[in-house]
Amino acid sequence: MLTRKAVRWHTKNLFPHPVTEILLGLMVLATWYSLQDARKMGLYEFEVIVETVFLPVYGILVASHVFKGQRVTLFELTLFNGPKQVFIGRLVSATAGLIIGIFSIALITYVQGYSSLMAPVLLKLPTYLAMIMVLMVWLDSLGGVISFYILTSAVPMALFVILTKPYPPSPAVSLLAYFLSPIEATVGAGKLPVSVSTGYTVTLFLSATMILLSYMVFKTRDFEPQ
Amino acid sequence: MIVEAENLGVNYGRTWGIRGLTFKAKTDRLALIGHNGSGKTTLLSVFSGIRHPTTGRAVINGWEPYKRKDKWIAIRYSFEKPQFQIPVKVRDLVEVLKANPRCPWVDDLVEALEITQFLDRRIDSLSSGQSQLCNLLVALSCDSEVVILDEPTAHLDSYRAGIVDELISKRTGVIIATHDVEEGEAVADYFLILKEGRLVWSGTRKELFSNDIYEVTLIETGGQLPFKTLYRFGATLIVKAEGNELVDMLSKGIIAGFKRAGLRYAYAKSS
Repeated sequence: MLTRKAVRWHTKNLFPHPVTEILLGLMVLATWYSLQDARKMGLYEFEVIVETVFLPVYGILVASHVFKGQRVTLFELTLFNGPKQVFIGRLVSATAGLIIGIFSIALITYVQGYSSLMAPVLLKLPTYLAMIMVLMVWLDSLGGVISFYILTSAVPMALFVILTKPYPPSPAVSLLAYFLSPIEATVGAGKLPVSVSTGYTVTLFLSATMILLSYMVFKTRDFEPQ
Repeated sequence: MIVEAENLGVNYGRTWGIRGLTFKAKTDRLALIGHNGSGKTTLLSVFSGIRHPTTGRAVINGWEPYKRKDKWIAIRYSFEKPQFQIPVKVRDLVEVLKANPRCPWVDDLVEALEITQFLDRRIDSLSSGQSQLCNLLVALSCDSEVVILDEPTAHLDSYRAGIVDELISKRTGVIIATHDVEEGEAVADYFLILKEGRLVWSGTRKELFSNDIYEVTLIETGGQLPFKTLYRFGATLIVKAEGNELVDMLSKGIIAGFKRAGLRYAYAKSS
């Protein structure tokens, strides 16, 4: 009962939310037209627009509902009898918010005939969730948003540059690419020393581990209410 | 409730929030008194279990709060400066509390704190006083073993502050931090005075009010009294006098009132 209340508490005002809806509309349009252009120009435009611009900003709007200061977190921990309900509430809230945007993009890739892009787009869900939950444990709203943007936009941009070079990146960088920019890694998989299936498996495992660890830390961490 | 500290210390990098605190208090309501930055909130954060001490240990009724797995149920905590960026209505907060089987006094508290007046306001649009009332509602409406309140009336008007103090004085297992000596004296039966993170005085109500030192309020702000004035705070004087002499001055209209000097004197003396 209390867990359900915690989920409702955290999903309140997530949707409908005018800014999120406008961004979702723009993201859908940008995805649609970039995939139409892809027949002539390749997938580069789609990769840049979706992976480094729209999905990160959309992720920030969703994540801002769970990045909270220590005082709010303490208040919620007291209100919901401890970390389990608060963590589940935030995880479900972030999942619900991300699913709408990510599934929309995945659906468009399928409709436009690029079904091979569905998997890396859907892979954004566990990776974004993992990053959101880890950042949520330590950082407040501003710190969380900035860090999330760096991890989901700035780092993938840097990886774009690395992956366009003629020589192959190291296995570690390849795995990082699968985790942080799976669309780019999948499109350029032929150049990577790590296969798509291995990359996806490691990404899923890493995401699940990060979410689990973030819960363990959230459960035991100290707070400074001042 | 038995509250103990053994060489308790908490540091923030090179700065110690509290240091070397040792005491044992058997009490229903413990008040921590001290000025801003004296270590009250740090000590509260250890007793509420949200922070581990750097040195020593803190114990309530035989258990260390930060080690307790059910600390969020056993201890309810209301902290200072409540400004919550939470986009839900106060009504939703009340509904959540009502769904919590450990919070049986929600309706009574909503009524007593007059929260009914702003039930349909969003929490992130409340004034600091209204946020404080919501904060207190969460802490006081549940049947926890210990309630920890950091400056519970700091943002409240005197009317609501009086209601809150009355509610607190009826509870047991309360640890309250305040820099308001009147509030401390109104609710607590054991006192700790902190300065610069160290304990400078501790004692019961009896020990606090056990001497011939009085706190006197003058009618004229610049007035003098024929007694030895120990400390002066505007029109309030701490004097050493006999009670019958002060009754005489009261009847002559020289002083507005007097009472045994309590926390104000203990606090000033320990400076």
